[in-house]
Amino acid sequence: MPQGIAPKDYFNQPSSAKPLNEIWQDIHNYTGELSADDDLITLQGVKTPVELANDIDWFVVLPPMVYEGTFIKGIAITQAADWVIDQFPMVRELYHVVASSCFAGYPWSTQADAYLTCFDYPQMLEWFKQNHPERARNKVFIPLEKADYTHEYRMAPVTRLPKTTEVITISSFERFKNPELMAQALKIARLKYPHSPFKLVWVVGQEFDLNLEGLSERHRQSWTKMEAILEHISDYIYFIPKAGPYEVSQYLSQSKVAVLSSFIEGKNRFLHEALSCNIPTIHFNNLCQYIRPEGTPYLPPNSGWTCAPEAEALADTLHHARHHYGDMTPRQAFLEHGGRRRFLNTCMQVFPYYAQRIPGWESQASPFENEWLQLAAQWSTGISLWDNLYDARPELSMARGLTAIEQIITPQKELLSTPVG
Amino acid sequence: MPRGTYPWDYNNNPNMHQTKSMPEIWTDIHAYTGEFFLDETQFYESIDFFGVIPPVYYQGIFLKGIMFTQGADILGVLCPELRELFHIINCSYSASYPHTTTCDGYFCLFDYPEMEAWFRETYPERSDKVFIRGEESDFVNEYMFMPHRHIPRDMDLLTVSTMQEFKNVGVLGRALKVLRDKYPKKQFKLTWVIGKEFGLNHTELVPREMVVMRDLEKVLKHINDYIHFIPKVPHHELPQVYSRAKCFALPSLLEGRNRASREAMCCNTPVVTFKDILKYTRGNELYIPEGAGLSAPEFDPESMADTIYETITNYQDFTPRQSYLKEWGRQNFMNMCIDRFPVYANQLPGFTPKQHHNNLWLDMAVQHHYGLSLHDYVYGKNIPLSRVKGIEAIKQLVKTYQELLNNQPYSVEQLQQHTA
Repeated sequence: MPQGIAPKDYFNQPSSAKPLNEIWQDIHNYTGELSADDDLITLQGVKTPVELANDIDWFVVLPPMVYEGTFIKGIAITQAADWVIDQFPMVRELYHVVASSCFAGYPWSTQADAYLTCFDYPQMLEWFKQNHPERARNKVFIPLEKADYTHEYRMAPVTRLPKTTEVITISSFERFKNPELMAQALKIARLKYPHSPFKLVWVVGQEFDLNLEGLSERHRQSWTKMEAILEHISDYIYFIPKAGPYEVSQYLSQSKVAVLSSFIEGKNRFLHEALSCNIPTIHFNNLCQYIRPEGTPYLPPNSGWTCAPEAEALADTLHHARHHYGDMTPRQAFLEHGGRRRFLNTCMQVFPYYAQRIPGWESQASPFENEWLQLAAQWSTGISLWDNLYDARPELSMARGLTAIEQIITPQKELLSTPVG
Repeated sequence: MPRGTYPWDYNNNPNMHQTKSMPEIWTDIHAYTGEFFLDETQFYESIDFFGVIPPVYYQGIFLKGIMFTQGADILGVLCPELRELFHIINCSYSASYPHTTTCDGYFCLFDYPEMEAWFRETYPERSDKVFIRGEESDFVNEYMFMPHRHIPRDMDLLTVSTMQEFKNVGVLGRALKVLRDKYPKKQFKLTWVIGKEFGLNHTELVPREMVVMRDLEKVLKHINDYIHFIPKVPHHELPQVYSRAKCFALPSLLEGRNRASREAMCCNTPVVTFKDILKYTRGNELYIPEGAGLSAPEFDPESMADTIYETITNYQDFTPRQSYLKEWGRQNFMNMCIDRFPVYANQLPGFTPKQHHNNLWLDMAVQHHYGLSLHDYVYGKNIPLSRVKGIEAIKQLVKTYQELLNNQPYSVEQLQQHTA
């Protein structure tokens, strides 16, 4: 990671004159997946594959189950599908392995059963199948557009917290996050609306100090550019270097508006977490414009505002949103389409496998409500399907690193040999 | 508790209808209740509070919660604020409708329109209550009580019951004797969880319990050849006990909401009862759902023995948990409670009968006030909001609810006026 060439032309340019086919080629020429073959240049230095192996994520959406003589595979998401499968070949007997590119394009994994995609975009998918038949073959595509893996009860409004923060962003100083554009918007807002000054709370996601110790050279450059625009950066921005999940929901709940200034992303987690915490969002209307069909919004209606991809428009929208944030219903808008139960439903519905095997499938619109599945989950894991999905026993539902993944799957091998209920 | 005259005759006589009319039978049964009343100070710290849904004020709508107890009479006087926040359902802990009037709903065991019509006509002062079908929807936590996959079913027969005469364990003892005589090679044994510590010398048993013990000893002679006693099992360990049994027996004819048989079904253990159990209060409804067990057709030991034998030898053909969860369990119980109070159909946004567990508005409202999902409230996960015991704990809990709700622009009273 990264593999391929990052599509830098799209980071800071609001639009491209290239034909769509070429744009797609550029975007799909990069992936954020982890590979056992390459070193990774990180903020802390170069990580070897041995070290990277400890960073592999494994999210269990559905555990493998056996009940009444029927075995069904589980579903798990990872950003290192090929690596995990090479290491533990039998994992495919237990799970449908879903690859995530952690970016805008389709993953590169050749061994995964499915690809996570950001949007359901038939034309782009058709192009992909024609141009990358070896990757598209036998794959199931799971669009995250109407299904997100945000834990909606962990990332939920923290009640009784006053709205002490006007605007929040959670973002690194990476170039593709457009930190300079954000700084320009803050500067314009202060000049244009001098009677309504505000500070942006910026959660950066990495530890660094007053002397910028902890930032990479690349990130220091971003800082310097922001400083050049704002002069006294601390007059405009209050930085929080790093925050844990509970702190994030607190910071978000204290905020009136959440803003993101990038043009290209994968399925940006921060925006969805903000919605889940009932915070309306602002993003540019060109966000991920090339990977979603025309007319398909990046976020659902009533979740916030979009604006033209330039600093003054962002400044105006920030001003408006700060005074009208109560008009939106972000959490409701989000949960009508997102949340983990819907994600489970989406995942299960795209694999024909489940419809063929699970009794009573046809009678329930929602697989989560399927009686057999509920009973099978309880029988096979000792906890309810709900508790599996919402991490009641995190040691069963998420792992980081090959060793931890092995600890999840090893006991599950038993399910393959004892198909009784 | 108890109040009224207990209908002893009905414990071991399934033919009362041969000498009495149905209204007379109903009068007998409904003359007794197991509720706690205001003059019974000794029970103040035994009152239960079970929250079904919490009160919420969200997007300008105030909705009362729903709770149930056996002490509404006491709570109505000592904790009147509770009723501002909750619809209170009272439970008689017997086959009868409750006696108290200071509540909004009554647990009844079954929907039985004829009996309900008789009751409303006979007791007009109690006829304004919402009737909650408690037997077909109870509050067993189906995720706490569930089968253990790695525990073998190495017990033939299990019962979980106090050592009281009305439980008819004597009949079960006689059925064991029949089983041993009919199938001597099988050596069937009953495991009996009594719920009370007692030892070899029985010194802890009270006289009425000793009567039961002596009767069993008389029938079985060598009681330990037939019964394995487990004096007491911690509640959290009960699922493991149920999961070991091939058959659960409930030999009584008159019960309130019998929890043990529900817990057994939850643990996928088939249940055997007499066909005549609660026959006068359930009309044509089944006591246990289809596929969850069998009923002995006659009220005699041989019929019970044959039914137990059939169940034990075919226990894998039953689907008790699946049958139970179709209509029962906490989620279904919550849905039914909300369906029965008309106010929710009028005021709960997105009201869809039997689907309230999927109601986004309600889920968001609960999250807004209490910081947890509706699901986690219903299943009481790590929160002291949905289950407490004793009047002082309930008073404190009401204060907590008031604080959580009052941290809004309005007081609870204002919220009610506002919604009205």
